[in-house]
Amino acid sequence: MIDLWPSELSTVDQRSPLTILKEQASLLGEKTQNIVIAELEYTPPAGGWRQNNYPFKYGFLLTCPALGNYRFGLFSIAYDIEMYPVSFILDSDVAEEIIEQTHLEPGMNGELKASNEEEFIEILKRIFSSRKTARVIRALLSQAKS
Amino acid sequence: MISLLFWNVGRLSRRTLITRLARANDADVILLAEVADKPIELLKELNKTQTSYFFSPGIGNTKILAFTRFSDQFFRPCWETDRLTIRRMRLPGLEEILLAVVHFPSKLHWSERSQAMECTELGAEIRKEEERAGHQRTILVGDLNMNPFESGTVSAVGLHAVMDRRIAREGSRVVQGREYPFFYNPMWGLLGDGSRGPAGTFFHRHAEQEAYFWNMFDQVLVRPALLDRFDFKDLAILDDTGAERLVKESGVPDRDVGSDHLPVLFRLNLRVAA
Repeated sequence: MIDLWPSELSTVDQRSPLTILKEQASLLGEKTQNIVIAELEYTPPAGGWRQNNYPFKYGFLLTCPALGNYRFGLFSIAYDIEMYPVSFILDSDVAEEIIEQTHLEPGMNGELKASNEEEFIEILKRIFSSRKTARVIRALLSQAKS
Repeated sequence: MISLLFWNVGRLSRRTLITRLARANDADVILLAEVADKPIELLKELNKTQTSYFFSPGIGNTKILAFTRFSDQFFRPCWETDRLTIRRMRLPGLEEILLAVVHFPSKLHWSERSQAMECTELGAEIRKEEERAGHQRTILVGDLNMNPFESGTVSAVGLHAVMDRRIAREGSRVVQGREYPFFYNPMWGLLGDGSRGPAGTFFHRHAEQEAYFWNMFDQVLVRPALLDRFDFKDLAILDDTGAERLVKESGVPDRDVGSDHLPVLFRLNLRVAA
C-alpha cells in the first residue's frame, strides 16, 4: 500500500496556549504550598453564541480548597484550531490595569488578542503581575490561614 | 421570612438612604452595585442607631457589596468574577440557598448580542455551582442591564427565565438534546403602568426609533425549587424610603435624590418544615 501521508505530519513545533496555561497553573500551587491553586476549566460550546465561534475556551480560575473550594474566574482564553490568535476575556480591573501597559489594542468588549506565542506570554505575565491578581491571591492566603 | 434588598446606587454616595431603605423594609440582606461609599462608612451608617448589620465582603469581587444581619460565615462566596458573586446562604434552621448577585455590562459599552453571549456564560456558571452545591435552590438577583424579554434573559442557553411559574415548575426544557433548567422571572408581572409600583427600575428617554422609556434591568429570578418559598406579593420595586421619594413627580427615578435605578425588595420563606 502506498503511504500518501507526508512524513513530517507528527512534528509539532508549537506549544498550544493550553499547554502554556497548564504549566503556569502548576507553578502557582508550588508558590503557595497549594493553598491557592489555579485550575483550568473547559467551557463547552453553547449554541450559536459561543465566544466568537471559537471551539476551544478555557477559564483560568484561582481556587482555594481550604475556603470551601472558593473559585475566582481571573480570565478566559478562546482560540480555534489554528491556536493563534488567542482571545483573552479579562477581569475588568485587570484589563484596565494591563491595557494601558501594553501596545495591544483591546477589541470589542475589552478583549485582548495575542497573535502569537510571544504576545500570549506577554499578556499572561501582565495578568499574573497585576495588582488585582496579587490582591486576590493574598486575600485567599490570608483567609485560608486564619 | 428573609428580606433581601438590591439597589444599583449609580456611583453616588447614598449611605443615609440605603440605611433608611434597609430599616424601613426590615432588610436582612442588602446587596449593592455601583457603590460610591466605602464599605466601612456604609457599615457605620447602617449600625448608627442599632448595631445589627455585618459587612460580608467578596474575595475576588469587590464591586458588589453585601451587608447582612447575620455573620458573614453564613454568607460565604463560593464563585466569583468581577461581575458576579455567588454566595451560599446557610442559616441555622433554614434551607440553604445559592444567591447569585450580578452586575452586567451596560448597554452603553456592550451590544445586546454581547450581553446575550455573556448570559450563556452566566447560565453555565450558575449551573456548575448548583452541581457543586448539590441543589438548585438558587436566586439570581442584580442589574442585568437587560430586560426580561431580551434574548439573553429568555433563551434556554442563557438564563432561561420565563414569565409563568407554571412553566417554570416543569423544571427544565430540552433544546437540541441539551437540558436547561428554568428560572421563573416575576419581574414580568411588574412591567408597565398597569402593575403595582413603578413601571420599571430604570428610565431612559432617547431620540431613536426604538425606545422603551422604562426598562426592567434590575431583576430577581427564582429557580423552580424555590417557587414555594417565594410569593409574588413579596416582590416590590421601591420608590420611597419612608422619608423621601426616590422618584420625580413624573414617576421616573430621581437621580438627584436616589439613583438612576430603583431598588428591588423581595422576601423568601426559607424555614425548614418541622
